[in-house]
Formats: sequence, C-alpha cells, structure tokens
Amino acid sequence: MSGTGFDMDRLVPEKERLTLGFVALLDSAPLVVAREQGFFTEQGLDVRLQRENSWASVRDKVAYGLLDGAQMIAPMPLASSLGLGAPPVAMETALVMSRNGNAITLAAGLADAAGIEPGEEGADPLLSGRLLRAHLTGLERPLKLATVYPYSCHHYQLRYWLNVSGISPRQVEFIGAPPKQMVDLLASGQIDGCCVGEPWNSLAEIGGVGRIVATGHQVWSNMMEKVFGVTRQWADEHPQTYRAVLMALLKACRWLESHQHSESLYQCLSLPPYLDLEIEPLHDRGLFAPQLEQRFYGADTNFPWRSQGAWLLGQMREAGQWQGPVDNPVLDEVFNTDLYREVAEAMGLNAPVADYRIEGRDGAQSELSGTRGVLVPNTNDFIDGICFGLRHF
Amino acid sequence: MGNDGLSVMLVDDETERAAMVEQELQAQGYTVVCRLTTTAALRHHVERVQPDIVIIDMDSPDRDTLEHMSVVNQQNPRPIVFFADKDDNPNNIRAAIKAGVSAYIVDGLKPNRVKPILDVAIARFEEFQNLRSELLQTRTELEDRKLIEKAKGMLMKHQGCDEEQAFRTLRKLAMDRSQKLVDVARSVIQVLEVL
Repeated sequence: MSGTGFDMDRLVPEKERLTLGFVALLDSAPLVVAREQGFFTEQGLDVRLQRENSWASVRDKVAYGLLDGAQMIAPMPLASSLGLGAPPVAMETALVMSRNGNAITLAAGLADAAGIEPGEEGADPLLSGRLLRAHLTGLERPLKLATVYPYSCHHYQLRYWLNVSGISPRQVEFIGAPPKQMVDLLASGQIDGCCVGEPWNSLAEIGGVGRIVATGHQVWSNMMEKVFGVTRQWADEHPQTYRAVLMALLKACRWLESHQHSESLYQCLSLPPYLDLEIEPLHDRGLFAPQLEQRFYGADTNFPWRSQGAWLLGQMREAGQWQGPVDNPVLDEVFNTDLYREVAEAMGLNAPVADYRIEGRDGAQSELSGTRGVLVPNTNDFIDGICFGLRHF
Repeated sequence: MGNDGLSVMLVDDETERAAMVEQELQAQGYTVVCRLTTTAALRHHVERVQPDIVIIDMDSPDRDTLEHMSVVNQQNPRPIVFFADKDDNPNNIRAAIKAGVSAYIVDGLKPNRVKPILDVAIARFEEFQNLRSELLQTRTELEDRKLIEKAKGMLMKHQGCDEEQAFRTLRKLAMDRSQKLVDVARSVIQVLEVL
C-alpha cells in the first residue's frame, strides 16, 4: 500500500510552520486537540490555527495558498474540484475528521403549533416530518429554512428529510446564514428552522427558541461531516508534511474517542481562539448531545469512502447544482483512500480494503475486509431504508 | 474609465475603509448603490437593490449567505457569482484575497468591466491595511517612549542624577544585557516600584 517509500516514523516535513483553517464548531475538535495536546508538535510541526468566518473564505484561502489546509465540510473538496460555485481548483481529502453532528431545528413556536414534541430519545424524524407537512397545508407562505452553505451536508440532509416527509422544495424558501446567526434568526422569527452543526442546535434548545425535530444521524447514520482538505498542488508539493499532518489529526481523533466528554476537551474548546464562551451553557449538560451521535474515531469513521462521495454527487444533482454523472472519475481523485490506508497502516490501524461499497442497511455488510483483517463498520442506515450504489459494483 | 453603468454594493464593517472605496469609485464615475456596515440584512438589500457587483470583506461571515443566494438564483434573472472567471489570472485573485477583498458579480458581466472596480477596492483595502499597521506601530512607539520616560524619571529620583545620566544608565544596561531599551526600562520600573 505504501508505495511512496516514505519512512512514516521519520517523516521530514518540507514545511514545518503551517497555518490551518477552522470554523468555530464542535467538530473543529480534532484540529484543536492536535494542537493543544501536542500531536502536531510530536510530528515536528508548528501549526497555527486560523479561525475563519465562512466556508467561502475557507475555500478561497485554501485554493489560493493563504492556508495550507483546513477543516472543510465534506462536499467542499468535491465541489471545488468540479468548479461548483467558484472557479475549479483541484482539492482532495484523505481523512474524515468527524461523522454526524448536524440537526434540523425548528422555531419552538412552529414546533408547538405543528404538535411536534421531543421524545425521550429525541424526536421521531418521520413523525415530526408528517406533522410539519400537515401544518404546512394551513400556512399561506413558504417555509423559510436556513442552512449554512449551498454545498453542505446540512443542505442535503435538510432536503432529504423534507423529501421523505413529502414536503416539496417548492413549499420551502431556502436561505443561507452563518451558523452563529441561527439562534438569533430563530429567536427573531426571521427563519422557521435551520439545519446546522453543533453547538448551535443545542444552544437554540437551551435558549428555548428552537426544537430539534430530526438529526443528521437519523437521516443517514454514517454521514461524513468534516474532512481535512488541501489542494492537489499542496499535496504534491508537501508529501511528507501532508502525511505528518494526517498522522497528528488521526491521533487527535483517537484521543477524542476516550476524551469526547472530558473536562480537558471542554477547556481546550472554550479557549478564546476556538469556541470561547459560546459553549458555556453546554458545560453542565455535556458538549455533545447524545442523540446526534457525533463521532470522531473508530471502525470506518475516518475513512473517506468514495461511494459516500458518490452519494454527495447524487445530492448535488437532486438539488440542481450538478448536471453530470454521479459515477464520476473525479471521486477517485478527490477521496484519497490510498493515503488514508498508508497513514492508518503506520499507526497500526485497520482500514477498509474497498474504496466503494453499497451504502445503506440492506446493502451494507456487517463485516468488511480490512487491511488488517475483518472490520466491523459503523451502522449505515438511511431514514427511508434505501440502498445506494454505483453500477460498477 | 467613466461611468460604466454598473452599480456597486459595498459590504464592509470598517466604515473608514468603505468610505475610501466609495469615494474613489464615485470619482471614477461608478454608482455605489448601497454601503452596508452591518451585514445582518444583506439578503434583503441585495434583493431590493439588485446591484451588478457586490464587494464584500473577505472575512465577513455573510459571504456564505451570498453564495447561497447565487446558487438559488441561478433560475432567476439576477444570479450573483464569484467574480473570478475561469480564465482570470490567479494572481489577481490572490492579490484580492490577500487584501481581504471578495466580490460577486451578476452573471454575464465580462471580467474586463469588473476589473477596474476590483482594482480600486484592492488598492484601497491595501492602503487601509498599511495605515492600520502604521498606526499600530506609532502607538507602540509612543508606549515605548512613555515607558522609557517613566524609567528615566524613577532613576533620577532614586539615584539623584540628572536626566542625561539616567538615560546613559539605561543605555548601558541595555548594551550590557543586549536588550532593547524599552525592555530595560520595563525591568527598571518593576525593580524600583518594588523598592
């Protein structure tokens, strides 16, 4: 697998001082941990983390070399390589940093009016969808729903849930808004709901202005959420630095597995450059709402499945953002599975052998063949029970 | 140059900088239709004003709002897209990003009509950056000078010497320790304040 011939135990970074971008969300944790717990330093890297205010600026600054790499929403390297929404710049990812962690939150007043109540385990997403649809027939205006970015898991999860609920996109006005503004927009009645990452759903609930009616995990239980993205050019010019960064990040993800609910993670994330005082209301109830199943490590969590990239392409097509085929060779370039396996191997971790598989419960095998033996993957259910696969399986 | 019939919207919470850009654009005959310092109502304003070009601070959180509008509006008559055309020079884009300028234009607008406007924005953003760093430096120098004055005064009082002698002492300490004058002043103040 490691045909590149680098000694992974003794990488010599071509560049030691790096600037990596992040957006202040709970799932920036792998980058924050890699820095604050010294995993970057262990790899001989001096990393500055730069907080970005929008996904657009993450994309532009990575594309034009002002950032070496960044936390990206999973569809970003794909959209950027295809030139969707901006001039095409070839980007790739070799590491999924987190799965799940988004939710669909409706304004509390609307949820009440529609009769949607949270259950013990959170809301039943199919029931809340039905109730919302029934409520919409009496509503004379379109529903105003916000997502954080047009090419985002949030946007696709929201559309998917609406579709399963029998709510037509024509009944909805989609708008874009930064995560940080969602709570205010809900409170002031400027939006009826949103699909956003954490901590913003929990903060809306705690503040009494919103109610989580479906989670990303319920829409698809194994959705890749944030990835580490770089340009192809940067990857080619800094092969050893790239590997060192990936090692540090994967170690941070592993650290998170046992520290996800720890005080030390809270202390790291509440530092001023990261989430700051924003997360204070979460201190007593825990950073991670259990029903969101936010995951950083284990099984195939960090593996950049090309078949999941294909699913994203399919969603782009559904949303009218992409007209080409879903079975597209660009997937092989964007999702660098070989490099993931190389890094995993150096850390003694098992990784899937296949790049593509059938996604969804009925198609997913309970056991996969891995580079180091049998691998039991994460649960992989779609809300409507479908299977998704490409022809060439 | 001259009025190109294009309307420009400026979105920038640095009011001074926005004023600089607006002034020059107007001097060159462009219409600045709207200058927004807070971006909270950006969506509403873009829909109402329908500018040909939006110049927006690179680091504004509302860029994602604009990008969303550009995608949704593809079916509508006035789509807004990221300024860089496929064949535009990447160095231009890099310069813009470095200066903190991002821009969106309506579909079909030729890059050569947009370029002069962008050039103005980039130049003014850069100028503003320089002004700010100069200001910062002046402020630091002023602070430094105040510290040195204070240390001098304390030395004069403590050693009963005159100003020149006090200054010479500071300079000697700085040379002996190969430290900056201001750092020596700081430690002298610390020591003498404790006494």
